[in-house]
Amino acid sequence: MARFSVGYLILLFVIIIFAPYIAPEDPLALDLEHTVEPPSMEHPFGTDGMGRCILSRIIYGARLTSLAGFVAILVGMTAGIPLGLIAGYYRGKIDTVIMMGMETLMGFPYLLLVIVLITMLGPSLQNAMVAIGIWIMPYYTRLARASALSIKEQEFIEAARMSGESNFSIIFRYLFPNSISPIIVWSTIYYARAILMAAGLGFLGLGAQPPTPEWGAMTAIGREYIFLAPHVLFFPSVTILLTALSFNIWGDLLRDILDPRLRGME
Amino acid sequence: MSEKLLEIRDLSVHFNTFEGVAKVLDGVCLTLYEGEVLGLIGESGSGKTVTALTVLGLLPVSAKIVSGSVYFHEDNLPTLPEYKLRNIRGSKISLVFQEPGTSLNPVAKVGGQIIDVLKLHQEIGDKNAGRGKAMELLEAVNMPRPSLVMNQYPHELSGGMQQRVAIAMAIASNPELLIADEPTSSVDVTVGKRILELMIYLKEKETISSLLFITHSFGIISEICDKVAAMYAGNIVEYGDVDTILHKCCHPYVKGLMKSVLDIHKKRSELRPMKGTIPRLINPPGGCRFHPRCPERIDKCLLEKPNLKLIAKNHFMACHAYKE
Repeated sequence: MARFSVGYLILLFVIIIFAPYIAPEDPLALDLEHTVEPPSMEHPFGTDGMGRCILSRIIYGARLTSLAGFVAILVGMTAGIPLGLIAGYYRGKIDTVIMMGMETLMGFPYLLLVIVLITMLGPSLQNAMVAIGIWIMPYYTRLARASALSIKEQEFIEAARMSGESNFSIIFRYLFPNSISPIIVWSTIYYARAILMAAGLGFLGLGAQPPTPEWGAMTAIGREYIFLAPHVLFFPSVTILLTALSFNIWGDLLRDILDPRLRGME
Repeated sequence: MSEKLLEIRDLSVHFNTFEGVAKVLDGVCLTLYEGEVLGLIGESGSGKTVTALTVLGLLPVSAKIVSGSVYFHEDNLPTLPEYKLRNIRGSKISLVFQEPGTSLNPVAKVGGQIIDVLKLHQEIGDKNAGRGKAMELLEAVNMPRPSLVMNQYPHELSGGMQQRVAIAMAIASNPELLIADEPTSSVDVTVGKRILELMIYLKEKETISSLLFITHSFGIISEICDKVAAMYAGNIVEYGDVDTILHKCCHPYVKGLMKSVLDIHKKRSELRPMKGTIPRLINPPGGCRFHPRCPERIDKCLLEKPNLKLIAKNHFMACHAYKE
């Protein structure tokens, strides 16, 4: 399983980089004479309702969908981690205020929260990324706070304070690097969730707008042809499934590698 | 007589705990003169480390300074704002911790950590100058192969080497006062001896000017200290020159401590530990805090707390039972 997922991710990575060279056709080129054709030698994954090559669209969609996940994680990280480290380091009122805010965010059903945010920002892929980032942020805050709580009690933090380091530099130069490993592992797992979420929003019409080749949006279009031409729905959905699954397995693998207690066990 | 560097007057520190207020320091008085090595001795839990942390203003949030002052030169440290304290920490007063392994940042290379400390308190030129200074410091603490150690992480070093790095960082900015909090108790005896020799060597070379040495061991006290203060349950019970304390100590607690050290010159020396343990500081015994364990207790001890009294030249003691 682990080998398969790493292999898949490497393949995905290559596809993302070399999309224009790999894709057999232009993902946006309409061909109204050959609509909803089943898989053939010419179009390995068939064509969609506008006669566009589904394989090419999936290949280009890999770029957008991966980017969406990446940006969302990045937004969540840059906003969430500093807040969590600050809350865990200072404790007291600052902690209470930050964590109350985060828990309020977490209290909303996630889809509702993201839909509200997108309604405020307007539906587009960029705004979907930001909204997903805001949804992910409180989880990063919690994780960073938990790490900060245990690390700040260690003696090297006291030693740093002793040598006259400022609080700011202790948070970002001592707490942050020491809390990074659970955050990395967690990111791979939430990366998968962010991709799923971006696809879900695309499916609901709140993310990427047609004709953008994005997996979720493609799935949404495919739904119309579910009885007539199931392949239009099948290929993008399976791609989403495999990608999310691979990232999850890879995250587990990474945790096993980074966790010294699990090292050396078969 | 040289000048007073550090003067702790009537310092009381209380800790709020779930079970109540622990009166950890109860009127500590201590003076350290410039160029002096003062040993602070006592059982675990007698407040030695808390005294050191109070000096640096690093007490945890649950602790409160109830009364007293800590004068360093002209400044009363507990009243100074945080930013001024930061300028004192590490540059004028620095601390060597008990556990060298945990006092270094595990994710940064040794060289980088030393350079960081250097950068905090002094102007160093470019990157190479910083590395050069860090190398000098590692050489000053007799680190073997300093250029190699610069690029290693703390976990790659042995306990003794880690402690040397910690000492190098502590002396990086030529502090006026170095506080060593049991620097030898977490490493084994032979390494501990070398660390101690290093401290004596640094003292002789005047890299370290004044030293507050916290320890459990009379052996270490006799090796390095000029003066000794004995602490019990948050009080200084006896204070004086090292020879006076080692040979003519009068406080029953210090006498008890001395007796509990094995004499290797006697053929069958008996280990005579003191009875009892440190009292719970949430509800300490009234009067003299030592009275429940004291073999020389008189009625007055139960009622009234003894103050430090001058009993001979440079020899102070807090005990009611003492007769001249």
